[in-house]
Amino acid sequence: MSRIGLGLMLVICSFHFAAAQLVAGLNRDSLHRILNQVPADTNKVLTLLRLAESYENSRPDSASYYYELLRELSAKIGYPAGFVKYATNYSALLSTQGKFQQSLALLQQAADTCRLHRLDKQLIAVWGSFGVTYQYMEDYENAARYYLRILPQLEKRDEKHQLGAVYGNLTGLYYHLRQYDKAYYYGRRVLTYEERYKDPYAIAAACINLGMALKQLDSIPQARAFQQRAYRIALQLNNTSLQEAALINLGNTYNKSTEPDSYLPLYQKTLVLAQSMSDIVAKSESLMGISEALFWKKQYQQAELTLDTAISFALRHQQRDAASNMLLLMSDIQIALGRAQRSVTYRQQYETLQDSMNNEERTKNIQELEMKYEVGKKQLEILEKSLLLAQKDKAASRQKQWLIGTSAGVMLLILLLFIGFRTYKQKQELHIKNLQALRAAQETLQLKAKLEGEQLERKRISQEMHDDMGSGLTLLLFLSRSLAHQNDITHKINQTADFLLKKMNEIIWAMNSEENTLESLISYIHVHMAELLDNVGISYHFHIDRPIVSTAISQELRRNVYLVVKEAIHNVVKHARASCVSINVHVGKDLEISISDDGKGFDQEKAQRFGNGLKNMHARMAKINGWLRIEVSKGTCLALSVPLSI
Amino acid sequence: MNSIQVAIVEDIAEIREGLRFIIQQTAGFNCQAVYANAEEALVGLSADPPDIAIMDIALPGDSGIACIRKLKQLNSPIQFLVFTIYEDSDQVFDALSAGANGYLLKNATPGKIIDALHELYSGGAPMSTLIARKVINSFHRSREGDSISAREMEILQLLAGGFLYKEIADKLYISTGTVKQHIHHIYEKLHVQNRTEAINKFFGKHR
Repeated sequence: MSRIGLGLMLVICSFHFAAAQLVAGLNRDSLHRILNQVPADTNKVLTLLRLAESYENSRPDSASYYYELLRELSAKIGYPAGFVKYATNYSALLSTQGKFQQSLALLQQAADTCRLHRLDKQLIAVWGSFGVTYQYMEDYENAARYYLRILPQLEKRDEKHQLGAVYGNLTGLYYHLRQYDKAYYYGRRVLTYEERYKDPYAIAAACINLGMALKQLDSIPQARAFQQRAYRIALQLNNTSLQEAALINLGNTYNKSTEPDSYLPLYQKTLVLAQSMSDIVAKSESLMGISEALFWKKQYQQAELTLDTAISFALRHQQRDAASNMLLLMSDIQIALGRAQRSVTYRQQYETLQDSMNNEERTKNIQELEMKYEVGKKQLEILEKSLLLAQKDKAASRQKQWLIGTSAGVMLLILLLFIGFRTYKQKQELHIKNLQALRAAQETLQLKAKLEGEQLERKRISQEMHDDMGSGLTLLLFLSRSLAHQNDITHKINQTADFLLKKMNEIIWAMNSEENTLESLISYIHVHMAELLDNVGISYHFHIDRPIVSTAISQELRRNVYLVVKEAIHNVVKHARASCVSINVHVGKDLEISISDDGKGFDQEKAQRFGNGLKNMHARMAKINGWLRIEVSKGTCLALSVPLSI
Repeated sequence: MNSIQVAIVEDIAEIREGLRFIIQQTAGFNCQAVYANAEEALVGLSADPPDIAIMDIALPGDSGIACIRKLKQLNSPIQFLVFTIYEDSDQVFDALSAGANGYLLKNATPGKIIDALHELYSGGAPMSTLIARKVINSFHRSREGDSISAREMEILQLLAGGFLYKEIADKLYISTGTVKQHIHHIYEKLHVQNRTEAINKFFGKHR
């Protein structure tokens, strides 16, 4: 139960450049106006940058559009710094859309450009953007690596906003990486830094972060001191949400089971604050804290009462993590009150809640896939838009050309029209190519989702078979065993239940993708055939060439080979009257298995005509491109072979 | 009164009674208690520990695995036999890591049930191929691989390769009983390893 304090929310800082004075501070309409007036030079680049930035939060697709124009313009006028600006800004936008690989590739290009044109200051921004992207990807180690790379430069220049943000980010990153000593170190830097600029809000946030890191480092008194300092500042600032965060974190510094008297009043205070601000998260957190304190103070009745309110509150407001913690505590309280049955009920509620949370996780994943697809569609729209715009541009220029054309001659006009047509054609081809790439990506995505879905479904079926059918069959087995007068029928029921359970285990084994190896198949045959033969008292020898490397095989091959071998052994047990069986397994390019017994053999003609068993065995082998041969001399020898390469 | 004391934790009444009947009928065994859920079992088993407890995994409240873990944390001397349908499941492995010493298949005949109890009491343990593989992985992962002896690792690897107890015994010139005892020790080490891991994980974080 650790709450991420207010200050620890990672400060995602974008490494934007400050735009030129010309366009700073203007609103969107003026920007649009300027855009149409300024010539295609570096100022136009900055105008586009501003415009795109202004759309970033509200309309990301418009932002993308203007970034695209910015890139084209920078390329056209040979302005590498413009491209770098585009890259650092646009990578942040790509990251918020979850397109991390694109973002990284773009930044790599930008870094190369910087090196080529010796843009040192811009390179720092690019590296910072790398850090931001990795932070979005939750790849905290790489993010930290990039921030550390730019830190000395920033410190040398004493870049005010960026330095504070980088320190803060590093604190958060190391907290996530569980390197609490480093989190503490950078938390210290934030604090020193913010103390210099005397920003009380930032100081309080830094104290909360430091306290959290110290708690993890087991420096409890120090951790407590920082949280108290944060609380004092929050009181002076009259900032209730900071007060809340400090109080909750302060409460977490106390040992839940031994110091309930110390943290109980803290959570009570938090509760009052939370209620005044209608802060749902803090309210459920504090109610949980109070109930826990009461529980450890052995005031079970009161704890039950509080928790009862807390649970219905948390459930009503969708605080499901908190609610599930509460249900667990409630189950413990019921045990303490000596009500085992009620404890079970709460425990079940807890499990139902957990189940539904897991389900939601799955739905969320699916939604994410769909979202990616949607974003792809949006991009397509943008492409279409730019195409349309290009056409409009062309139309406008054509009009102008017309005026000149009348004086310069009709020939020129035709030439221009021809060029226009060709560019249009090229654009359209590009459009089609993009469309195809998008479709291909979408198909791969669908295929992957389908495979994952199949895997999940198999797991679910196995689980349900195991849980529901398995316990039912076990019950049947025990019921038939307990019948007082054992007769043929009860014996048959017994055997059938036993057979079904074994069969079910085979199916579960066959469906488990973890078992898709040659090794698994051979050892499964080995163990289970030995058991079968042991049960009827036939002696056996296994000669197995074990595969040196573990070879992956398909589920189909595994299942069919096992069933054929089982059928063969069954035939030996039922019909051959053998006393000894020898089973040889050889692994080469093919998997070869032979099973020979010293029994009476059989008439192949007859068996072929009447028995379905042999036909089935042949069919199974054919399905996996293998073959089966039976020789009858002194006993029976069955040999099968199946290719291992796909 | 030197009979082996057994307790049963199983939520389905008919199965519970069926097991009790088999145990009571066999000379040398006494079924001292039965429980229908983990919460009651936790109280009863810690107050009056039997030699062996047969533990179902899927119980209405806490699972059998959680129950074993809690009792083992209280240093309970009980040997646990997990009652399961499918020997290769992750649940069986989890139970073994939590402190169980073996498993009993639900479709085992009465004769085999009694054999399994005898075997466990005399210090043996069953282990399937897949479980052996998971145990090896778990020791590799924990960086405490050296806590397991070379001989034990050899046996684990043979088991994982699908060799039968009998064949392993022949290969290593030891008796089947010795193989079983080695496996028993491996399980004990798995519990220790698991407990340290759990302590590392929850240190200072648990409420």
